[in-house]
Amino acid sequence: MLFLSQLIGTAVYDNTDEKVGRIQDVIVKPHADNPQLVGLEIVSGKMKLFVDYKFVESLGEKLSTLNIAQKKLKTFHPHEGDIFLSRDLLERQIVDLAGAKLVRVNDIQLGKVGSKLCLISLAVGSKAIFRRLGVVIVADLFRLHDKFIQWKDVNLVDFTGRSKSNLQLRTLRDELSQLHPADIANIIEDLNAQQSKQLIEALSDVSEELAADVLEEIDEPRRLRSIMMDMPADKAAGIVEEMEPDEAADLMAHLPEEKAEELLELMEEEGSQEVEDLLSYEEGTAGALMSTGFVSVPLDYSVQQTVTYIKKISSEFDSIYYVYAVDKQGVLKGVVSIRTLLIETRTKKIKDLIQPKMITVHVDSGHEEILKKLTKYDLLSICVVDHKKKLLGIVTVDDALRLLVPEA
Amino acid sequence: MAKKRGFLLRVGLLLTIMGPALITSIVDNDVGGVATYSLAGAQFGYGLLWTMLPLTILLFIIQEITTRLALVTRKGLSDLIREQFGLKIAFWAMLSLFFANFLLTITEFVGMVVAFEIFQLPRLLFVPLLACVLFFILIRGSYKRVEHTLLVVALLYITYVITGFLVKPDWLDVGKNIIVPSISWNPDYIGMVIAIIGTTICPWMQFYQQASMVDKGLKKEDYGYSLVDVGVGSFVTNFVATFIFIATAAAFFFVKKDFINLTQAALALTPVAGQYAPTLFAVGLLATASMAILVVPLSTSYAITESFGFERGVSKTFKEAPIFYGILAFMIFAGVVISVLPNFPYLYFIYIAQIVNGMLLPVTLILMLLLVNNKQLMGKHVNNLWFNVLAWGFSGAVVCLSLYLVFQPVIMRVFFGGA
Repeated sequence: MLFLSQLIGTAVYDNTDEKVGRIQDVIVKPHADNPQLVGLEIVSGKMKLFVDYKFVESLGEKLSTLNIAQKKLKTFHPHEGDIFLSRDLLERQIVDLAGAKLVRVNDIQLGKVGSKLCLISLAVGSKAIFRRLGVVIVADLFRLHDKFIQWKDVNLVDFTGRSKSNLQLRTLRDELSQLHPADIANIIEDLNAQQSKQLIEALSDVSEELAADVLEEIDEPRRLRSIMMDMPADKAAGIVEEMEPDEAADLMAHLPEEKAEELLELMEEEGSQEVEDLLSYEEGTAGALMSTGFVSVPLDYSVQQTVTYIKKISSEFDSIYYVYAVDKQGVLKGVVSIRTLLIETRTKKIKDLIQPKMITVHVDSGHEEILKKLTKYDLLSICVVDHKKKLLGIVTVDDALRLLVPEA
Repeated sequence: MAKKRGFLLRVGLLLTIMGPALITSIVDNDVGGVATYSLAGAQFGYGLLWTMLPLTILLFIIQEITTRLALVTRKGLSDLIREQFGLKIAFWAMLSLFFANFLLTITEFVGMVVAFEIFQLPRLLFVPLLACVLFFILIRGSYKRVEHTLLVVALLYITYVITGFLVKPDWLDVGKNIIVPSISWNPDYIGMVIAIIGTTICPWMQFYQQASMVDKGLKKEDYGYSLVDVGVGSFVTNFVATFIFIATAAAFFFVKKDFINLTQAALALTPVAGQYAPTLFAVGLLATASMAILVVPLSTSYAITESFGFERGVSKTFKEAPIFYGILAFMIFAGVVISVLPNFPYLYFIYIAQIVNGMLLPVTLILMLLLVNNKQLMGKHVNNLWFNVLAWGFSGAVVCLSLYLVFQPVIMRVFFGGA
């Protein structure tokens, strides 16, 4: 096993024992599991040269040797997208996908995979710090451990100083999109403004819905604002469209008016109208808190019709607990649980199944009343109505929990 | 939600962006600042007033460089140092930052000790108590909520300005001393110059200002606003400092009264507050000390953990981020313990802490200058010639002054055949 820090700065000799220079960087070819060494960057005085790895005889802590005379070396051109370990990785911050957190690369471990020398893992523990400072004894004294992250568990988030040609590095690893949106949101809150914008953009290239889910989990209004302000407007609008209307409205409320209007205009009519309606409610009221993502059906629907309807639209909702029955004016008449729909015969009419006594809150009522009613009547969600009892939206227990534990 | 945002938004935007540099500058006049300027005014009268003009310009230049680094790279200073200079340099830079900031933290608690002595309250009870409250505010992450309250208390500085007018100084003399430097090679004088530099431009300020600008998500387009912020900030700091000079010079230097402990510094405010001067002074000390305790240890802990990649942030639990909380707790509680030691030489310690900060300043400055001149990092936003000349010149001057102070006995012997 070899550490990058042990190579950088060491001398390289050719096969005639002539000194070629000192190692400045180690170049690997991008690969999902084991990026292979393809070359060295060597400096001699002010001269810089790239050496193809096939001319390297041995790599070592003290010195390295080439299997060819310096004069016979052909110029080697690294490919666009090749990774320069020291320039692109060492000292940088990366996302540890297995631990779902942001860490700094303190050293890089190289090793043989089969017969090829490859990048094996990144050292992110404190022992690597002391080893590089030349006082590994301190680490041993405090029983500090090395911590390594496998290359496949790494996601790059920092692209400062890297040219556009290196964009290949940006390709988001599948593993990141496998994480729970709340975990990704936590990582984002640790990144700086630019990195978080880049990450959200990259996520939205994979799936706008995922990006939207992640945004919903970010609790820092300032962070949300800077992400949305920095992103191209059409991209931002695409993500907002995928958000739950109430979350989208919350987000919009944190943006400057011009920006919010710009995004609303870029969004599809239907979605933007809902968000705009929600935006018109005073902060701290049921109206501002509620979500318009509820299922409502006319009174004279049968169970069969209702189930078919739910199947058709269910992809739009995160969860469905209740189906609400409304009359032609949209006035709330009652509620049916999913359970009832499952049990009852398919021909029965909704109006015969509904529970007509409904607990509701007025759209202008405050947080306290919502919390009280949810608790008192053990509800999973509560209907929000206007003064004519027209159903406007629902507040779920999740939304209400946010009021109590805003920082989770 | 509120739809009328046009004008209010613009004012609000200005206020939010007017934050980082101005806040940094206000916290800059902390216990160390008040003590050092008072000491300088009492010992040298107007003799050191001339430092204020160049220091205002330099503070502006350095804060402007910090701003540019923040807006262009959008990374914290400790992050940049680690990435651009590698682990070893980052380690030494962080070690010197920690040392300088720990000394400052102690001086803030010393300020609290003095304030409670003026109130005749037992320091052994109240300083630890206040430290616990501040620590609690920090780990609860409610710092932002108290920030503005404390900044209002900083308005107490206006009393120095009013005093400055009430003592009816010879304005012509003041003006002359501001413009014309009077230089002496007396080691006390050189030490005081370094202390004034060290208290006006401290290493923590650059780290804190850059981090909060990055945290605010400011970018290149916000440069105009930020420049106003920096300008107002660097002016305010030194404007207040100038009046502390004038007020203490009138209370001590011109009446040939010795200034030997910090409690006495309150006397400078007598023209305004009469018999309440000590109370007013003590309230001011508590406010500035608290403000600095909320800023300095936290920003140190952030800088170090960011540089080494340890988990950080007050949203983390102690188990998740032990080093982050460890540094924070150590600075605050070790600071308390040292400051309440019996027979602690308050004023002398504060003075030495400012000198050490001044001597360590070039470490940060030189790294910053190397960063801001890095074309790969800054593109076309690298320093222009004049900024470089002034900033490098200043860094060099501080290094020379520090070396002179340290080796003064040797220099005297070599050049003048005896100290």
